[in-house]
Amino acid sequence: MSIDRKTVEHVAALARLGLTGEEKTKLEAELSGILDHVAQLSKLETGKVEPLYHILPIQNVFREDAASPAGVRDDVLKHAPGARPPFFVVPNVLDE
Amino acid sequence: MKYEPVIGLEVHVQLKTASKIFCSCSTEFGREPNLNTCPVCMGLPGSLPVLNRRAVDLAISAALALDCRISPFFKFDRKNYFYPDLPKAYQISQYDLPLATGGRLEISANGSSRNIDIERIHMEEDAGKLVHAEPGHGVPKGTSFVDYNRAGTPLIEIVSRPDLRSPAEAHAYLDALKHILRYLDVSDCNMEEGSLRCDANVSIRPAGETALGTRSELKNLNSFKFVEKAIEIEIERQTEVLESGGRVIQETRGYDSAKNTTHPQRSKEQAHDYRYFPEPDLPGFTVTPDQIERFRSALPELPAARRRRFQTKLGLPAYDAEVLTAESDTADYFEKVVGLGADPKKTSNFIMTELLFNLKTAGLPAGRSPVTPARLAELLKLQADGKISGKIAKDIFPAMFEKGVSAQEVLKDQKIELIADAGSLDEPIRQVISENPKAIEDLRAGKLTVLGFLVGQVMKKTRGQADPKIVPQELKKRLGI
Amino acid sequence: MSKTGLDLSACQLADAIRDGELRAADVCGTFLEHIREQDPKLQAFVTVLEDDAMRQAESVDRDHSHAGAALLRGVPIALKDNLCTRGVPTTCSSKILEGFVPPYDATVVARLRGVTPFLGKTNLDEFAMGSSTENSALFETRNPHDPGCVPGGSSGGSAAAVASGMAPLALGSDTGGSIRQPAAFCGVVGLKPTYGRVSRYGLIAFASSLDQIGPFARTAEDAALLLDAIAGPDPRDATCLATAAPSCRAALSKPFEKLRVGLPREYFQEGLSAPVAQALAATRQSLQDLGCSMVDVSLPHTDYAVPTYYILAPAEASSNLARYDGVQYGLRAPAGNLIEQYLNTRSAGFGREVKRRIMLGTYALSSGYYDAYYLKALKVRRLIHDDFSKAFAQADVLLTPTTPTAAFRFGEKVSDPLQMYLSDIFTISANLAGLPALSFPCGMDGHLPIGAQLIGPALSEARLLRIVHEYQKDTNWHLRRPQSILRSPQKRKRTPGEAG
Ligand SMILES: [Zn+2]
Repeated sequence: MSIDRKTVEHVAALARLGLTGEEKTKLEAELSGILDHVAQLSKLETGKVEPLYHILPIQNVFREDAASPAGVRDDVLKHAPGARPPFFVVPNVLDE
Repeated sequence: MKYEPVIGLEVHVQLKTASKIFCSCSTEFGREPNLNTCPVCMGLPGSLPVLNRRAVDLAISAALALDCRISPFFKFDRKNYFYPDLPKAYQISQYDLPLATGGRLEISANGSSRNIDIERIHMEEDAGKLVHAEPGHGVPKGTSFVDYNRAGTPLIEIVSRPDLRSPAEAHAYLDALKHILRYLDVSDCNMEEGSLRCDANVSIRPAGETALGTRSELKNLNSFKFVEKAIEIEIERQTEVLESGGRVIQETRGYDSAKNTTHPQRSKEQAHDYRYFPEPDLPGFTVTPDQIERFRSALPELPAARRRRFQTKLGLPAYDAEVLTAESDTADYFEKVVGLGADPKKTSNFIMTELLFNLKTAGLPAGRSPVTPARLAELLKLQADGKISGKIAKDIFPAMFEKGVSAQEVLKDQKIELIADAGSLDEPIRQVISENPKAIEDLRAGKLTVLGFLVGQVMKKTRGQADPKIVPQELKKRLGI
Repeated sequence: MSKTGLDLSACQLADAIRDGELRAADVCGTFLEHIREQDPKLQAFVTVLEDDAMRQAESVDRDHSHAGAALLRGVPIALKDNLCTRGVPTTCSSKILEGFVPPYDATVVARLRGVTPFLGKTNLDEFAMGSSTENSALFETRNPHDPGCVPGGSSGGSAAAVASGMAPLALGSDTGGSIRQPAAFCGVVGLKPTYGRVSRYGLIAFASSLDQIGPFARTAEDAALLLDAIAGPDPRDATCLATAAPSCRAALSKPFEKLRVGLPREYFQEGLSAPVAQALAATRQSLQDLGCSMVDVSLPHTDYAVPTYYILAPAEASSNLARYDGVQYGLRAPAGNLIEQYLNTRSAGFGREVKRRIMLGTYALSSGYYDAYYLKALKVRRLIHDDFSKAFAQADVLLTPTTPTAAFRFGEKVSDPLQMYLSDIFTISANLAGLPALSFPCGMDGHLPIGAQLIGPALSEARLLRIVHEYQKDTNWHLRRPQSILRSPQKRKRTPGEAG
């Protein structure tokens, strides 16, 4: 399985990673190498195997519906990289 | 060419829980920004979700009321996308094994009713709110404020099949849905507070065609009326596009209610690929047939069934049944009054004309009416026994409502005398007969129009306290006709 | 020295503090002093909590109302810096968490607060992704036995802290071997509990379905004591088992049962260094001497564990690490608009290995590839899990090497990610199968320690610890201290992106 430049760029866009040209070139090779190794999985016949969604033999874990304040807002806002209490502040989605 | 619209609705409904779906923060509306937050719903590193049991209970009730099949096993999945209102950059939702599938909702539009198929119902968490900030006072141009109070609010998404065929049907679907969910007390379904939101998928195709046309997804629909109008205008737009030889493209469009137009919306994502995968932080969930039966038997009678019962068992006209079952509170009130011996149709009339008007003015639900069902039953009994006229009953009701007192108290207060019994009409009737020999003769000759005049004379003599429904009967009885 | 406890085990320290022979504050002060001396050379700590630790120790000395309630009272501990600590920066050794101060304690931290003074937060491979601690964006941690060698990873700081005597106990986290491999490289005991035995609440997630917090200690008994203190149900973690964990330390004093020890043949093939093979043979003999019987078993899907892991872990990580976008906490890089903010922040904040795994995981989950990669890996995970179920029908525990070789040198594998991944070959399966596994010192390759691994059925931690406890009565590998050959006290700061 080899990964081309276009795929690297598409995946980086999905993951919101800004990559330099050099990083992209390296990742093309590294990801291709890892995926070659991973490709051995396709040799295994797994047609009748159920995917293992959870390793634990437990189900139906709930909490009861009771509200209680956490009181962490001001602390989080204090350390936030962009805040105008009581709000977080972010740039707009695109330039105006 | 004639086109047929094909409409499907995706409705997000907030479940009426005290706390959020995966954490203990309050769901209370209108709190100070970001006050209802904790490490979990702010997506702080290391925090983990734990599912609110009540959210599932409410979702199952809603799904059963909509005739859905509850999945014996369901799980949660992560829907990955970046947006500042989504603290973890993924939404915990359900993908391939949702809570429920395959239901239906009965709608009535244009005087007929039919079933709309529901494809699925799944549970998910809501996102926060992005507020466009006005520049100035240290806020640079082009910034937004983020409030996570809504983040993690429990939602169900109800996805209909593309079965709706007109904007009016879409409206009727929402009415029926709201109706049921409020009945179950699963949600407030309040569009202003965002506890019900609706996206519409709209396409058109030549009449008779079975293949689906390309659809657009309408967003920003802030009221049922706007849902209807936006679909209407979108159908017109698509029709124009096709008729001028163009092609409809698949896109998200926003609705501008001021201009009554739809317009393409910039997409949230650079690329749409949500990379769903099973949520590793939440083990799966099972529901046994026994549990489903318990939920089913705990469901209240649903509006459609109640409507039918009011018509068939209590003999109400369709219109009355519809109005009375619009809110479960009203229907409960009605049933209590009838249960105390009142005539169903007379009760229905009184509720529809007098009670609902007063409640609406006071902004109260029937359950909190100052005139209790017992007091209304008492009032209606006075009328039925001929002790007060219908007019008096209507006249004194506002005072009962306003002061929260019984009919007897108002009557005493306003010095209105009870008509002891039909016998008390004897004297006024005897007088009227003897004073109007000509009219009596005409009446005996079959000229029924004079009856009204004679009734009026009796009413005059009783100073309006006689029951105008009883007077004609008594007159005729006396005259032997 | 013996008065203040550097040479005592955690159990001995706890007993001495309980009996009033030692003051918790003196013990804490001694360890802090040792950190001041040793850490400039080893660089195990990201943050040393001098004042905080002393305050906690003094409060232990003042308040005897809980005496006896917590067996570890007063024994100081080091915490891997991916465990959230209220009011103390928690970095994951990543630039992207710059400025992040958790407003809450991880459940394990909350359970220890007020009991064990926190000496500090230890270095790790960024977001626990790595096998050498070379991927820390802050600095490299050195192996106390040889400063030219890596301490292993990702919990390299915790392993080095315990091995060098800077802390009697430490917590780490293990997603594919991140406790056991550094324990082996540094010559200490490291235990990854059964998935669900210890709450993950407040552990900054790498791969949620594989992550588990566990203890580092010098002896099995110390590890048992620490595991007892942190294990058990937690309503904040839905994947934490609801059944109360039985005491492991109590199990150590029960008579030693003669167990069937399975030797999975796939773990003893080519690639194993000669010293490791010899050390394992000797260990096997020691266990036989204790009365255990040896059985040959097979785990036929072993070869598929690494590829399965390198789909599942990066896929989960790509989602878990999506939240680091500069909006609410951590680093925010300057940008003109939101999309730029995302790209710039994540580009500047994440190191090479983290980016590599985010890319790999995003790719594996992306449209059109899910079935071929992620779903396939979930199916193979079941096959691997089932291999162990079959093996445990024949054996009570499995004995394997922890790593194919002893600690490698800095830079040796960093240029080839696949070679680095393959060094986890013996540890990954236990994470995939959710099983408890433990590494303990069992020999030396020159001056470098060698670790042996025991893997048990779910919830068999007490059994694993019982075996090692018995083994440590008859052997002294766990008593080997690093030679004081440490030089060059200068900290090696690195900028992210450079090597690793
Ligand atoms: Zn919350």
